[in-house]
Amino acid sequence: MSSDTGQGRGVRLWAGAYSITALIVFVVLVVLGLIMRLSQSGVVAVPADYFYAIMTLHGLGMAGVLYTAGYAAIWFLASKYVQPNMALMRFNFVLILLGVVGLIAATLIGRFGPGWYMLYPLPFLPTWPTWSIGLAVISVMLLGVAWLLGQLDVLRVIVGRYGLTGMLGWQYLGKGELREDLPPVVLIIAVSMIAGAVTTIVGAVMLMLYLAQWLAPELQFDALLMKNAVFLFGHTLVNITMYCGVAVVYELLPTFSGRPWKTNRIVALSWNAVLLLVLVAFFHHLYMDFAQPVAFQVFGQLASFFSAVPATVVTIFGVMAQVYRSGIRWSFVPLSMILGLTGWVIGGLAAVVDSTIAVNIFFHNTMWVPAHFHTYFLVGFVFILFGFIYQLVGSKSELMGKLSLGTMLAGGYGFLLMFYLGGLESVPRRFADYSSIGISSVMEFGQMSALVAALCVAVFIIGLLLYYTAVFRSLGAWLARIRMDN
Amino acid sequence: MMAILIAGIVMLVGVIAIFLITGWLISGAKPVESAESVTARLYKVRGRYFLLLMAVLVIMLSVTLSNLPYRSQVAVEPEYIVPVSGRIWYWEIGPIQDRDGNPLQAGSGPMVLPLGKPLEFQVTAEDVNHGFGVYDEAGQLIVQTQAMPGYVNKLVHTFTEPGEYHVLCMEYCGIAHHSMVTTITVE
Ligand code: HEM
Ligand SMILES: [Cu+2]
Repeated sequence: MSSDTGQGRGVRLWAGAYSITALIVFVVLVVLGLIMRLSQSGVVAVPADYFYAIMTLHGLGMAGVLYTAGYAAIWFLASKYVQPNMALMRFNFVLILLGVVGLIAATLIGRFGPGWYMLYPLPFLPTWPTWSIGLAVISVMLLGVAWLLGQLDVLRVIVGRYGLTGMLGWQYLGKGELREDLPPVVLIIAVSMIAGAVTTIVGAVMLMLYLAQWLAPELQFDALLMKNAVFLFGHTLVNITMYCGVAVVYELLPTFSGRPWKTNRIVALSWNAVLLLVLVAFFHHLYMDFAQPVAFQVFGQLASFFSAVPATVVTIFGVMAQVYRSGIRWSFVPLSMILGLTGWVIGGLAAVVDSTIAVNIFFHNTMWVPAHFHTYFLVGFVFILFGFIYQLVGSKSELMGKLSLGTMLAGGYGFLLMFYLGGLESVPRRFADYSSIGISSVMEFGQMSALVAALCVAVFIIGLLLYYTAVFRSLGAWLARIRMDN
Repeated sequence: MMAILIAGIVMLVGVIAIFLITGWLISGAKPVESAESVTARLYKVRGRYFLLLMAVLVIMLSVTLSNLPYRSQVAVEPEYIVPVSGRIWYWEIGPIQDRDGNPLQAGSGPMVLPLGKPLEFQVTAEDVNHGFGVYDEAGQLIVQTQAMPGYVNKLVHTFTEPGEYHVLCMEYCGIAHHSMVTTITVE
């Protein structure tokens, strides 16, 4: 992929700049996660206001940086077929950096800590300084603007080449002649960016209301409506991040297996279904809001359950058709892809379990929730992203890479297991410490599992550093190749 | 709790199956076969898997959706009403009322709720979102609903065991969220 797939110099350079920045931010956010687990174990005393500020930064930071990295990856892959606007990519880099700096200041200096989804009206509590509220809202707006512009730009160029219905693969649904093959990666990108743009607009409106409330504290909005809006935005954002990862797999795996991966009727149908399902599934975040219309609750469960169909029937069987008896050599990149998809499916199973209303009443806002989305991300999307970046910079450190995968796998799943067990034991999520709960069994289990988790995180970080070594040592050669390609 | 046990078992079995499939895929890369013959066989399995998955989903949906916790879906008629209000960072529970809204208990003192009687908790919040979660003595979360400003969430529950129950806040509500706890006695 370095110089042979046709992406120009600038495209490679900027995909690299986004990726490397993401790696640097990522490890810092992982360390914040470690600090939270240590605080919860009772071993390290972190003052509660710091804990929640760290939690907010960790959550917003992870969701934001991984979406941005996923976007950069699909932007890079899309550049093989279309030409997104390069200047916008540079501009967005600055916008996003400003947003990140603003969030760091608001949380670590201002101790702004309403949690990553900033549930209305919590951000406006007077427990943190007013400036930190405004700064955080404006920072998230900067991110939102950058994301929206990026989504619209990719959609613009894809529509330009494939047409509005063409990019969604509707030509595969009818009987007509195919003018041109639609690469599945383009289809997935189209679906993700449409879902992203629609919901980011909702998010932007919501953030403007937040800004208004900050400027005029006497304003009051409907809490249930705001909760629906924030989850439509946040849920979709993290879901399309995952789809960006899946798009990377569709595009890269064939280069290793030697088998083509083409769009056909079923692939097209299923990604169109995904577009509908992803926009409705967020209702499962509001199951415990008994005032929400019952029909929405039922929609939420139906959409969540049926999301399993396209994900497994098309993507997982597609992967099987790619690799089974293909003679593929399991080098770092395909290995990280297949392990990443494994994490995605496991996280998906945990999500479907929790999206059952009758189960959610026991799991809602327990550790089961961070358990499932950390599975999606930490041992799912992140592995795929790591595969992509390794490939992008053309690392050849196979041994180091595989060692790091094994270490991250062991540490990662150990860390996750403690979240899952915590959920089964009713340990509530987002507790800075468990000593004031008053139920000794929950407190003890919460602390003990947090300690084991912290140890596992330490293992994960060792694996992470091995991976960074594998990538960073080839950066020089990568830059030299780009320069030569002039 | 049955639901938690089932959830745990589904997850355990599922994870083992998924890992086995991954292992099978990784080790099944060789011997090499043509893509066409592999695809033909896989598509047959896929067709069967699709039908099986749909059947499982539909069955699970019909079983689980017939048992919703929402007020309009609960057949039991509550005998008493228990107002609950969350605020930063404490709970106000009671006084318990009969169905016409007449208080049965003096306003203050420890919260005592009757055993074996269907209760309707009317849960709301004064300031920000909170979550009303009830834990039994064993430390098991037995029931919950959100406490949202401007809304009253009606939660029907019948305590079947006497004892001391703990109320925890299940929605993050600021820097003392983790100490927003209280107890309820059921007798
Ligand atoms: C080894 C790496 C990681 C560690 C140690 C870690 C640790 C934690 C911990 C301890 C919490 C608080 C759990 C609680 O509710 O009590 C948390 C929350 C969270 N984490 Fe992570 N995490 C890691 C990776 C990730 C990744 C990859 C993502 C990507 C999306 C992520 C996103 C989040 C989010 C969104 C929250 C919720 C924050 C909130 O409740 O406001 N984390 N993490
Ligand atoms: Cu709370």
